[in-house]
Amino acid sequence: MNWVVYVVVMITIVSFLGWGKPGKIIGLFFVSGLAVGSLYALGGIGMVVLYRATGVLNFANGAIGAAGVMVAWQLGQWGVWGPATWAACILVALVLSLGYGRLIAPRLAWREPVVKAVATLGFALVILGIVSFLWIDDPRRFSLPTDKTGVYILGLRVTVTRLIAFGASIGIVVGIYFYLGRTQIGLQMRALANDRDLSALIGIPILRIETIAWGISGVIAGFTGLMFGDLIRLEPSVITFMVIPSIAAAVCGRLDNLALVLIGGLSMGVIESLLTLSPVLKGVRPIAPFVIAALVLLWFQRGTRLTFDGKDQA
Amino acid sequence: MKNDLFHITPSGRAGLLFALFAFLVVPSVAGSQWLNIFTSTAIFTLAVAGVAFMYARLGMVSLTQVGLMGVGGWITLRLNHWLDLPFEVSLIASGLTTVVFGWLLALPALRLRGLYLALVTLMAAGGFEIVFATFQFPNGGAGFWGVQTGTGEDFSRPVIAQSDAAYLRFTIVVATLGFLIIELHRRLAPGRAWALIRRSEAAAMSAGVNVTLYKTWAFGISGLMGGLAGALLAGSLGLLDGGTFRASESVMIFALAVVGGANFWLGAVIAASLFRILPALLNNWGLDADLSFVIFGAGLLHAVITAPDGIAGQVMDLSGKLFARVTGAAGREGGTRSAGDGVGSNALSRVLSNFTLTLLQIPVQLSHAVMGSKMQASGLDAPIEVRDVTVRFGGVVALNKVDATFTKPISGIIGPNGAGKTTLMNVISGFVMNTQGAVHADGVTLTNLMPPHRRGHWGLRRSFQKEEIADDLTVGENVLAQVDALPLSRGRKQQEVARALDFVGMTDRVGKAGKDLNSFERRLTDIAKCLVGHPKIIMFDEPAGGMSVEETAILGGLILKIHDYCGAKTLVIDHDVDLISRVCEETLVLDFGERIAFGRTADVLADPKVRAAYLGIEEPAA
Repeated sequence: MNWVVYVVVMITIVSFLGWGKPGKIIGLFFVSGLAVGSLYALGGIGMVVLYRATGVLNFANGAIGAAGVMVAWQLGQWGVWGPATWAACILVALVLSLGYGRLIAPRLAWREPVVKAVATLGFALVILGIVSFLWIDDPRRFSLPTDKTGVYILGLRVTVTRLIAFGASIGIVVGIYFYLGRTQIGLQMRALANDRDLSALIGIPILRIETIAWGISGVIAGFTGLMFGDLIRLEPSVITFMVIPSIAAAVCGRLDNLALVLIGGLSMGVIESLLTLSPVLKGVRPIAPFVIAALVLLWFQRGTRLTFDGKDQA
Repeated sequence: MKNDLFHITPSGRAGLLFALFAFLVVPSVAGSQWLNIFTSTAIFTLAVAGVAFMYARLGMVSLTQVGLMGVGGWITLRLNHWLDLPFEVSLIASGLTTVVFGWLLALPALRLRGLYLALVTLMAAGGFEIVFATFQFPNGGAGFWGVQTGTGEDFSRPVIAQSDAAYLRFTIVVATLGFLIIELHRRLAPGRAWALIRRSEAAAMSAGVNVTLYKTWAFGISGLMGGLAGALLAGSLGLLDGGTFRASESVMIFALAVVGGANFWLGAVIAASLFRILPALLNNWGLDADLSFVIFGAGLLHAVITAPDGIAGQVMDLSGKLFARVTGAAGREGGTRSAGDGVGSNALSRVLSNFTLTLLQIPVQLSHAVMGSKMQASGLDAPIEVRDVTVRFGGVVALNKVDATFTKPISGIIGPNGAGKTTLMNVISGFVMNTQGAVHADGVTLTNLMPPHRRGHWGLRRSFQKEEIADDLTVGENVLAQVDALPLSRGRKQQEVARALDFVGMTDRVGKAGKDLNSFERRLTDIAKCLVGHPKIIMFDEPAGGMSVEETAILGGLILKIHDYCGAKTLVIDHDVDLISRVCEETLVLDFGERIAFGRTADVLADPKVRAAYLGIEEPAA
C-alpha cells in the first residue's frame, strides 16, 4: 500500500517537474540527482546501522567523516601515497567512532534516545572545534583519481567517483542485509534492535555487539566523508552538518529499514535535482530533503495517538 | 495561592538583581564593541529561554529556535521597510506571528515525541535555513521579499533606544519580561498541566488536561521568545543575513541550553554567554574562535553525563549551600516566605496579580469553550452500565461482549493477568476504542468518542497501576492540577483540594515535592486527585500493588469512605482478594476477555468457575 503511494507520488512529481522538457534533460538531472542522493543515503545508512544496534542516533557521523577526510587531505599534501591516505581517512573515522562507543556511550546506556542523540552532538562539536582549529578556513580541494575518468550515461558524463558512491550505497545496503540475516553477529544485532533489555537477559554480549556496530558505522562514516570531501566541498563545518540531510534520509526509513533509507535518500536527491527545472522552486531546491522527511514521518504517524508512555513512536 | 504567584524565590531575586545590574551598570561601562556583544547575548538569552523551558518543563526538544528567530527578524524588517511602523509595534507583531509559527510546529508534536519530535523540528530548521539563504531579508527593496542589492535602507530603532547603550537596556527589559512570562505560566494552570504531561500524557488526560491545547500553547510561548529575540536582533543590527539562521545554530542553541542548565534563568544566561561572549573573548586573546566548539562540546558531554541541571544547577547548589551555612538552614525558609507575602499584599501587586491571572486564564477559558458541556452536580446515583463491550487488537480479542451493570457504591473487577481488566478500564476512560458496545452512566454514553480529558471534566477519575504524580509539583499542586480545567472559582478549588488532602491524611505534606514522596504517599496523593471536582466515577487500577499489609488496610478504609465523601461510584481492580472482599459489594470476574461471573462479591468468590480460573483450584470432575 505504501509502495503504491510512493510510486504514484514519485511519478507525479517527476512528470510535473519535467513537463514539456526534453527527455534528455530530465535524464540528465535524474542521474545527477542519483549521485547526490546516494551521498544522503550513505550518511543515513551509517546512522541507521548504529541506531538499530545501539539506540544512538549519531549526530557526530558527519564530524567523524570530516576529521577523516581532512587527515587524508593533509597526508596527501605531505605527498603520502593516495591509497594510504584513503585508508588513513577510514582508520581515523573508525578510531573516533570506537572511542566514543567504548568510552562515552556506555555511560548513557540507560538514558532515553533523545538524550543519547544530544550527547553525540557534544562529540560532534568537539571534533568540529579541533578540526577547524587545526585546519584554518582556507579553500581546499580533495580529489580522487577516479574524478578524472568518466562514463557517459544518458548523455551526461558521470565520474567514476559518483558511480562508486552510488554503487557503494547499494552495496552497503545489500551487504548489511546479508550480514544481519546470515551471521551470528547479525542475528544478535537484530535481537538488540528488537529489545535491548530482553537481549541482555538472554545473554547476548551487548558490549561486543555494540562495539562492532560502532566500528561498522565508523567505517561507513569515514567512507562517506571521503565522498563528501571529493564531491561536495572540503570544509569541516559543511561536512559536519551534512548530517542534517542524512538524518532526513534516515528518517525516511524510520531509523530502521535500510532499504527505505536508500530509496528515501535517492528520491530526495532526484527530486532536489529535478526542482532545478522549476523556475519558481529552483532557489529553494535544497529544502527538498527536509520537506520529504517531515512528510514521511507524518505519513507513517497518521492515525496513531500518544497516550501511554513507552518507546518513542514512529 | 495569590501570594505564591508573586512570591520571589532566592533564585528569582538573584535573577532580578542580575537584570537590574545588567540594566544600570553594564551599558555605561562597556565599550562599543562589547555593547553589541552584550546586546546579542541578551537577545540569545531570550531565545534560549524559549527552548530551555520546553525541555525542562515538557521534556520536548525543539531544534527550530534560531529558525523562529529568523521569522521574527524577517517580519520586523518587512514591517519596518513597508509601513514604517514604530519598532515596538513591529516587535509585538513579529512576536505574535512567531507564536502562530510555533503552533504550526506543534502539529507534529501531537503525534510524535522524543527523538522523532526532535527530528521533525530539525527538518523545519533545515527548511527555514534554506528559505532565508535563498530569499534573504528585506532591506528596503520592492516586492514581497523586499530585497535590493547594494546598501539597504535605514532601519529605525525604538524612539527611546536610539543609541547602542539604550538599545542594550531596551533588550534587557524585553528579555526580563520574557522570563517573567515563562515563570508566570509555570506557577499557574499551564505549568501544572505541563508537569503532568511530562510525567505521562495518559495521566494528564485523565486528570482533565487538554494535552493538545497545552502542548500547542507551550510551542507558542517558545515561538514568542524566538520571535521577540529575532526582532530585537534585527533592531540591533539593522539588517540580517541568512547565514545567522542556520539549522546548525538552532542545534547549537539547544545544546548550550542543556549545558547552561534548562531549569534555571541562570542557565539561559550562561548558554547565551557561551554562545556570544566566549568566541569574542577567544578572539580578543588571539585564539581561534573555533576552539569554543570544543568547549561547547565537552560542556555538553559533561552536562548530559554527570550534571543534568547543567552549570546553573551546580552554581545554584553551591550558592544554596553557602547561603545555608551563612544564615542557618531553618531561618532561610521562613525569611523568604514572609518576603514573598509582603510583595503579594500591596495594592499594586493585587491589581497586577488579577490582570495576569485574567490573561493566563486564556488557555483555561479556551479549554472550557472546547469542553462545551456544563459541570453537573456531584456524585452518581444511576448505575454504570457496561453493554456488550468488545475490544479487538488486530486478531486478539481483548474483551468479548462484556456486559455488567454496576449499581453498588463500590464494585470490584478481578481476573487473572491478561484477563482484560485494565483494558475495560481503558475503554471507560477513553484510551482504548471499543469495536462494539457502549458504556453508559447518568444518561451519558461515555464511549461516544468523548476524548479522555472531557471524560475527566464530566466526572470520571482514575488512577494507574503506577502512581502518576508529577515530580516537580508539590502535593497540593498535583491535586490542584486535576481541577484546573473545571469552571470553579479559585477559592472553591483551593477548598476542594484542602478537603481531599485532609481526607487522605496528607494535609501536613501539602508543600512536599512529588519527587520527595514515598510510594504510599504518592498513592494517597493519587487518591486525593480522584476526589476533587465533583467526581462521578472513580476507578483504581491495582491501588494496593506494592503496598504493605498496613498500607493496604488504610487504603481499604479510605475507599470504603469515598461514597459518603462525594457520592461517587468506585470501581477497583486488584489482585488482593482480601481487599476486594472487604471493600466491594459486587464484583465482575473476567478471564480471557470474557465475563465469567458477576454478582455479590461473596457469591462470586465462591463460584467454582471463578475459583478454577482465578484462584487456581481445579474444578472437581463432573
